[in-house]
Amino acid sequence: MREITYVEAINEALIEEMDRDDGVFIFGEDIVVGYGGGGMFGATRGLADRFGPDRVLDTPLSEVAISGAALGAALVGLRPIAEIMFGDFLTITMDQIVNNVAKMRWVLNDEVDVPIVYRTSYGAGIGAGFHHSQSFEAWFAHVPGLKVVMPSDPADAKGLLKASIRDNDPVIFMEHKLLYKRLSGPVPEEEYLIPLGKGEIKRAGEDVTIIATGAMVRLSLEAAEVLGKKGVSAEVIDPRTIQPLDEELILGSVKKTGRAVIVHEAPVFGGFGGEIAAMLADKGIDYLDGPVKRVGALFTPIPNWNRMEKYYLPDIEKIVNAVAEVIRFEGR
Amino acid sequence: MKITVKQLKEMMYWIVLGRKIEEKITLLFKEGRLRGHHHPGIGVEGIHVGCCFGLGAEDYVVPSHRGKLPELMMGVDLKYLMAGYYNRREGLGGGRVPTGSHMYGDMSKHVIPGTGIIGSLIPVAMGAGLGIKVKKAKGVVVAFFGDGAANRGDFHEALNMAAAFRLPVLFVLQNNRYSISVSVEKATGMEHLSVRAAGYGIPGKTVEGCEVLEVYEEATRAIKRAREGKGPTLLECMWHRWTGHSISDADIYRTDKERREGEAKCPVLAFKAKLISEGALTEDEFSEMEKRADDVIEAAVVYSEKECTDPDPSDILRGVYARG
Ligand SMILES: Cc1ncc(C[n+]2csc(CCOP(=O)(O)OP(=O)(O)O)c2C)c(N)n1
Ligand SMILES: [Mg+2]
Repeated sequence: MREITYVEAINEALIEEMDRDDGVFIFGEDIVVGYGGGGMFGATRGLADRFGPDRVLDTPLSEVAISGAALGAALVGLRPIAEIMFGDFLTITMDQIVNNVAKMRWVLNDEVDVPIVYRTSYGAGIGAGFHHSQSFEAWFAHVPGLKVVMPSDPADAKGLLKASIRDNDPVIFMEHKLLYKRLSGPVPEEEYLIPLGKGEIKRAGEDVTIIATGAMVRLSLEAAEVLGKKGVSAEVIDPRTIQPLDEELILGSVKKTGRAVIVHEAPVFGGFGGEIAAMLADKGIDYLDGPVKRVGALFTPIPNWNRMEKYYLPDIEKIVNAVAEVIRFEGR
Repeated sequence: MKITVKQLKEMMYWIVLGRKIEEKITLLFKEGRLRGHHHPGIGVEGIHVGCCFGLGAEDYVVPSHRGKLPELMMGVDLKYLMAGYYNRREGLGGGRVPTGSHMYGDMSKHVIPGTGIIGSLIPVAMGAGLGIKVKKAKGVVVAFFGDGAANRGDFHEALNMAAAFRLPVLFVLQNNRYSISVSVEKATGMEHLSVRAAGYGIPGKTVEGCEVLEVYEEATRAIKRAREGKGPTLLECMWHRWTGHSISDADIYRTDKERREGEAKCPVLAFKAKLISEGALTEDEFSEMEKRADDVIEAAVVYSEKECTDPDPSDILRGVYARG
């Protein structure tokens, strides 16, 4: 199968869905000609030429207007895609997304669809500092009415984005900026969708389940290789969407392995890992042969110096150590 | 307005220093000696000198991501700033923060950190003005931000409240006609944004940023007004961004004609020519200023690269909350 990058997969999904449905349109800051065309990371490359200025719009630097405009446009029958350049700027959109967007279907007595995708680039690892690196997925997953999607590889990015655009509820679509150009992978040329709420086993194993999202999936796969050399067979699960969450997949895996480690990039305290741990305590307690451990970032702002950023973020060693705390193995 | 030859020379030196710092830092990034974000401030120097020259120790500034002169003119040591850029322990921010572009400050020098969330510090500047008023202190606050930032709701809320409470704030809108790739015209349908002041019932004025003395005159008027308790002013200063938005921006959306016209309005050359024609400056004096600026910058680079130390990564744990 051909291989393309994460950002190319996103670009393809946007083009295919805009081709398919005239109601889909996209707007955001600097998405037309910014940064050599196609925005800061190139996700919207070629869209303006193909679909014209009515369906691909550069906005003012106005995140409140962008987030609110998406709702207004959805309410008059369109399927807007709003790009928020960096996930950190989602903080500015919180009023619209949390107070209005998330509740609109319910307020209107379940009589309307609110098909919005808020796409954003999130995550650390490129030394961009605390205002361009944060991971806020847990905040959004906590809001009834929103869906939160976090693809970890090119194939998932494409299938999940297409499904998100066709979804009739508002989706926060979180693209990890570290993966955009650094991660390539096989992506089918024929059309496919990946349903929201279905996770995937990224690596099968017997001894321990590692549940990870976004850029942490790849890191966990690397940690699983290290563990393999130590005689521990790790299964890596990517829920792919954290709202809705594929509880069945996680429970099934933990039933098999008896151990669970959760890895995410946001700080541990209050992160979505707590929700998974609670779910395991609630529904999977009989399967567990050890404590559930969480690996996440430190509880500080994100430093921009690369050595500090490394210290701040989860790494292979931290994951391996967490596994060692739930399962005894040789060479530890 | 009275201004001595000595003061004119000081202003000239600041402009030269500002330009040379931006050129040097851009070079250090290209050479890979500095990493992270960098938004060159080449071309903005005249605005900063004009607005900050009349400030005193009781005043405050909120810098934007363009240019380093506001903080330096408030007394931040260039060595300290540069060492921050290098993420050194001895530098501003202790190696932890995106010094130079996004969020760094020094309250001992009344420099309130700017922000990577563009526009979010405009209300904070207004709040500092509120604090000054509540404390019955004397200072004024000068907030720098761009035309893009002025399209945030934060701008509008801050200006309204500053106007309503008659707060001592000078809002300096540095209009370079672009917010990354989106022109002011596309983003607002207008050319100049100072007219927005009328909506808040405060004075608004547009000046050419390369005309340093014009900026100085308008800033001085606004600052005097603010000190007298008459409230805020919106001062729009036009300037040209000499580079792409940041060092990673290919800048394909502006024409060469735009660039040529913009660069013709160079604050360094314009001010130098003016002073020389008026007999306030000689070529030799100008060359000396250049040399002095080069030396100061070189010393800051050597200090940062050779004399400073790396922080311990665990330093990030300090200062999340108050101690004890
Ligand atoms: C809230 C927010 N939105 C978007 C960005 C991305 N961004 C950084 S600088 C910038 C343009 C700022 O333009 P302007 O305020 O005119 O200042 P200039 O860069 O032109 O000096 C944008 C869009 C950001 N940092 N913060
Ligand atoms: Mg601008």
